[in-house]
Amino acid sequence: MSSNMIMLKSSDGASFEIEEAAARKSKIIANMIEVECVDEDKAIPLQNVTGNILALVIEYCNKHIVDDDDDVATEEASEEEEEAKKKKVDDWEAEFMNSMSLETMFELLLAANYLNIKSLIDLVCQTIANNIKDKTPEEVRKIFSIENDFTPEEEEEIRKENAWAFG
Amino acid sequence: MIPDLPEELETEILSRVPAKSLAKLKTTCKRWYALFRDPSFVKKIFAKAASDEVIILMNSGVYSISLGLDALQNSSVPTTELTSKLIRPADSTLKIAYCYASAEKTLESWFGTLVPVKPDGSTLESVTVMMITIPMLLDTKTTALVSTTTKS
Repeated sequence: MSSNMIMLKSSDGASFEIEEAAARKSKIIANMIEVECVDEDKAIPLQNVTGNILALVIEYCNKHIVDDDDDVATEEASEEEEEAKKKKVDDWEAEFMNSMSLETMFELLLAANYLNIKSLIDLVCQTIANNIKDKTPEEVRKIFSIENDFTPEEEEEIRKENAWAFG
Repeated sequence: MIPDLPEELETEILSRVPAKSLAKLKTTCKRWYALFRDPSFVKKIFAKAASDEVIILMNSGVYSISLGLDALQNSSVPTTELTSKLIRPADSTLKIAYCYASAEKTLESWFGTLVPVKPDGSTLESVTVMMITIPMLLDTKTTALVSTTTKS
């Protein structure tokens, strides 16, 4: 498949070349392409995304554009093939998310949100959710920069509401 | 770490955290405590609950219910009525639906095989059911998550 290439430019000035089909994963960029405000010679400036995060976004988009093509090409794939393919994508996604720190995940989430890439938002949210599910309120407060605004008495009272959930 | 996360993203993340973990996290701050009781948030949890949602077994109480299966098919809220205790928990794989149990009954978590009873008294094929009450998320103790797999 040949595809137009477009240029993206990160907030810190790094330029990335990406296939148009991959870039269309971002609804924002897809819209820009639709209304023809993408000049082939010029990079699209993304003011809210740094180069290291944009590289991750592009890695994700490149991976998933291939998958989407496969869907079209193998409409009559057997159930096993479908499952194998899904597992491959799941494994790739797990590996991809595994390679980054929690802090990077949040930055990636903000970027995915800004670029409006729904599947990436879902993936990152789920990974962060898995990450915090076994953490204590104190640990989670640090992660989300939250102040504890309960008094110790109030906290105790709430904890008593359903003591069994803490078993 | 993240001082300026938009609230909608925070909600997206939290709605993917298992209910059991949310119960522990409700003392994080007042805002979260209120959020976890917000009906629209609770609804979001139900919609997102993955098939591997961890069961909360409060004790070994297992109940049979009659369940409006028609509602499952057109994805509206099925009606349920608690009838009696079942004896044996069963393994299950899950699909998600959710329901409201009748308000007079206090639900406990349960998990078992369910034989739906039609209004005329005849039974439908059995379904494996898991239900988690999440009273810590709601003022009412009667909202529950029910997951069923129809055995063919």
